[in-house]
Amino acid sequence: METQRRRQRLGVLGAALGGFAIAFLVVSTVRGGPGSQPGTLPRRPVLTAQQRAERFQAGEPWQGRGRGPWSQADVDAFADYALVWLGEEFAGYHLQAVSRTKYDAPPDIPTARPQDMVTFIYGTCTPAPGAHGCLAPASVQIQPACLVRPEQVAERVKHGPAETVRGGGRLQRFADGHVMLWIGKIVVRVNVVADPDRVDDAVRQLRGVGRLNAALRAGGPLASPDFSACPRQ
Amino acid sequence: MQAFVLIHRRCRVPRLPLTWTFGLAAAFGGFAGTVGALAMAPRARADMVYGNGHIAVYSFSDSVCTDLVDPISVVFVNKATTTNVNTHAGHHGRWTYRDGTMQYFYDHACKPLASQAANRASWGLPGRYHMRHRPNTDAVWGTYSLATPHYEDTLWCGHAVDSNWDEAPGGFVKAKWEVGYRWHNWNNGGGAHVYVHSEWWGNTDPQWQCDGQPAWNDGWTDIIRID
Repeated sequence: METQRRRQRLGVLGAALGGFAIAFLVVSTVRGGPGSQPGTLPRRPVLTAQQRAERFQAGEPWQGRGRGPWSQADVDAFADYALVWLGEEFAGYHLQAVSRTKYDAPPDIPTARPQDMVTFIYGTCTPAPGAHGCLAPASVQIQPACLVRPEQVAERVKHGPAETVRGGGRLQRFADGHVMLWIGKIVVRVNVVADPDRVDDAVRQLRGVGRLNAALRAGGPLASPDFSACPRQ
Repeated sequence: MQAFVLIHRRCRVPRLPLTWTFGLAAAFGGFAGTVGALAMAPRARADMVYGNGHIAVYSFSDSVCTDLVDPISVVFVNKATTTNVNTHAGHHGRWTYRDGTMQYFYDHACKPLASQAANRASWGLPGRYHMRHRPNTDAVWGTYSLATPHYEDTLWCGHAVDSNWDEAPGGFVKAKWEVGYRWHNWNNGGGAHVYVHSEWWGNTDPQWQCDGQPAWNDGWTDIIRID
C-alpha cells in the first residue's frame, strides 16, 4: 500500500516536471530566449529568393567605365581623400557606376548641409510595379569623416554599440542592416540591400583604391578614426 | 473530539481519480514553466525588428515591408496629424494634390501611407514635389508624421527623381530643402513651423531611376515641429 502511494506521488511529480519542461521549451522558443543572445532581434521578413532575383540584377561587367561619370582612371587618380571599394564585382553584382557628389550648402538654407561623397554602385534593379525607382543591390559610399561623426548618428537607428574591426576601424551597425566604418580621416557606408547578411563579408572584402589608399588589401588592417582635422563642434 | 473528526471527514476534499491528479499536476507544471520561461527570457526590444528598427528609414513598395523604396528625410512632430501636415503642405507649398501610388511605412508595424501631398498632379509637366506620409504618436515626438519628400520629373519612362549626378543635390535633398526652407520662410520669421534639428539616419542608398540615373538622400533627416 505504502509503495503504491509512493509510486503515485512520484508519478504526479513526474507529470508536473514534464509539463514544466514542455511549457518552458515552447515559450523559450517562441520568445527567442534564453538561448538567444541579449540584444539579438527577430528578423524582419525579407524578400524571397525569387523576389530578389526579380528585383536585383548583376548588371554589365565593369570594363573600366560604367554608367556613371567616373572611369577607372578617375578612381585611380583620386587623391582628395582615401577610397575603399569592393573591387569590380561583389556577391555577383558588377560595379555599375562611380561618381563624386560635391556641393556646398546654400548659405540661405539653415537646414542644408554640404556633401562630398564618392559612391560605388554595384548591380542594377527593376522597380516594383508603381514605384519610380529601386535601391541598388549593394553600394559603398565614402565621405570625409568630419562630415558625419559617430556622435551625430541618431540612437534610434543604431543597432548595438560601436565595434572595432580589422584592427582599428570603428564600425557602427544600423537597424536596417547597413554599417558605417570610420577609418582614418574617412567614413565609409556599406550596404548590401539585396542580402543584408552579406554586410560583414563586404566589410572583410573592403580594399583600397585611388592614389592614397591602393596599398590596402582585403582583410588588411584598418586605421583608427582620426578626427584631428575636423572643426570643433 | 468526535465532532471534530466528523467535521474533518466531511470537509475532506473528495479524492480525485488518478488520471485527473496527473493532469492537474502537468497543468500546474506547465503554468509554472510558462511563467519561468517568460521571467528568464532576455529583455529584448520586442518591438524592434532587425532590418527595420522601431522606425524603418525608408518607405516600402509592399504591404509586408520587405522592399525598400524612398528615404524618410523629414519627420513632422508635435501636432503633425495627417490633416495638419496636408493643411501646412497646401498653405506653405501649395502641395494640394493627393495622387500617387501606394507605399507603406514601418513604424512598429507595417502600415499603408495615410496621405500624399504634391504641388502638381501625378503627370504634370515638367515634374512635381511629392511626398507620402503617415502619422503615429509617442511620448517623445507627440503626434508625428514620417514623410518622404522628393522632386520627380515626368519623363517618357515614367517618374524619375532628380539624379545626384547631374542635378545635385538630387531630388530627395532638393525636396527636403523645399520643405525645410520655403515652407518655413526662415528669413521672415518662420511662423508655425519650427526646424528642430537634423539627425543622421544614414538612408543614402542609391536608388536607380527609370532614366538610368541614381538619386539618393544625403543621410540627414530633418525634424520639424508643427505647432
